[in-house]
Amino acid sequence: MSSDALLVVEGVEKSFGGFQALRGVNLQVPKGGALGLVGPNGSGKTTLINIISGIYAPTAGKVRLGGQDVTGRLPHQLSHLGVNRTFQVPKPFGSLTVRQNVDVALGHSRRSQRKTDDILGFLDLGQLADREASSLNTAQQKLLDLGRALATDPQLLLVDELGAGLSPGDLDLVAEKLNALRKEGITMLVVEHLLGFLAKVTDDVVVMNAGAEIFFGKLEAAAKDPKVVEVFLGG
Amino acid sequence: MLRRRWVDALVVVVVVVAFVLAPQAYSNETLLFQMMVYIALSQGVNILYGFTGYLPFGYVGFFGIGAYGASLLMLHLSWPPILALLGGGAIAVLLGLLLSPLLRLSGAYFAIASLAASQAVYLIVSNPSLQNVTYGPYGIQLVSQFNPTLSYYVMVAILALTVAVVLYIRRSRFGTALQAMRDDPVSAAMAGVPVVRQRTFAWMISAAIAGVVGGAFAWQTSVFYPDAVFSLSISIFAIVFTLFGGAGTLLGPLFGTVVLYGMYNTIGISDPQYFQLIYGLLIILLVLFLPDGAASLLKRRGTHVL
Repeated sequence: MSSDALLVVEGVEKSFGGFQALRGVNLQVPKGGALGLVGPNGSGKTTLINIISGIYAPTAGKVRLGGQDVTGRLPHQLSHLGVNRTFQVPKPFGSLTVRQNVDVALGHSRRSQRKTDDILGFLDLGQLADREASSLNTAQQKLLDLGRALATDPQLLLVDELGAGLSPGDLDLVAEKLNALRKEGITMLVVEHLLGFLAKVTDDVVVMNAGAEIFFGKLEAAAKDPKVVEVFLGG
Repeated sequence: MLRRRWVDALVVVVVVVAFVLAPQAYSNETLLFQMMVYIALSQGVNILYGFTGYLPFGYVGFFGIGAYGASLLMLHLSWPPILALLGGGAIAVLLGLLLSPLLRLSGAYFAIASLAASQAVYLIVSNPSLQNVTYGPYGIQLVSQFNPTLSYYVMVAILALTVAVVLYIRRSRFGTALQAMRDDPVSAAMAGVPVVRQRTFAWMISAAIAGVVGGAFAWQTSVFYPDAVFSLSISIFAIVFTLFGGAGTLLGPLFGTVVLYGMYNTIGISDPQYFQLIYGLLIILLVLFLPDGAASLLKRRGTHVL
């Protein structure tokens, strides 16, 4: 295990009844780094994110954060430790205003020194602060999801398909935001299907298939790896 | 912030003054008492359903156990009535704690499970084998404690406290967290909200209100049988009043109770057939056109409803 790794996933397995979604996944994300996670639908990417964020407990294996074993901790406990995430389908608090969405997270954070207006300004949501979150479009709800996560001042941010469904212009904007957050020192694990987007925001990628990792390295190298090519294009 | 506190205080004062003065203008004190009971119960349902999304069909269980708890503390341990009422509330909270695993369920499953739990409590309390403790199916008689005037004013105080609690929840970080959990519990947990603990806390507050109100009802009524305080219609009334007015607001359930319970007492007793027809029509219209209650009529126009 690398000593500068913030997140270490060791042999994580997850079964749902008779279906094994994860088969002993190992990965590390160095402090301040950004690792991409790619793979076909059903390869276990979101399951892995759900385990790291405490929504599922793993069937076997360990998750360590800064050397501390956090396996099986509940989502709110992990949030207090500095782990947060966005969701593939955004999950705002629809009946609350945009400002209240961020305030809930700020009010329950044990770490955050951030301010609601700064977060909303950074995400270009300042004008919408008093709107009900349910009235936002998908791109705005995704940014609000990110804002709610940022309000807890995460040291590790799990980004689950933030780019899906966004226009090319919005994608560039979101990539810019994520890179700005990296510069602040936030470590990231980014699940994404859009490889161009991933190339802009990550250093290395892990490719997963059928619940196991099959490649680790640079994105350009993944495109030439025979196992990866077989998974994506067929044998 | 200061202006909001004044508004909150004004609401509490108006409720207190209205029910303190009402017996001067309207002689049926029992009806006024029961209206207060239902306003408080609908606010209890409101805390649970309006703020957390959990619809407690078995809410009457807390009311019944509060009525019995308070009565038995008066009869067996000779507790003074006001202390016994608090004891009834505490017993309802204990029952809430015992039943808190039900909160693992949601939606219709929770509604039905809470209903089953309340009926289980009813069957235990009314069991003839427990006659020495609960008086079984033969009911309770609080003859020496009977004091309709004092119990009326104590109920006014309970109502004022209930309204103040709901106002506090609406304004507090706790209340916003409950609404966030209602909208999306997973997202709320990621926002750092200890979802299970907060939801259980709301459940306990709601149980405490029903327990104390049940105790007050027992004291005022003084002679009652188990089916009178464990009747499912108590839950249904409190839920319908809340939904009619608008869950998640303070004034919605208050308005719903005054209108619907008032209507129940004006035509429900003299002309029950028309009452049921009108009630049924009102509920159908509500579900079709105002699923968020009467308060949503104002909200749609951009008016803030307290």
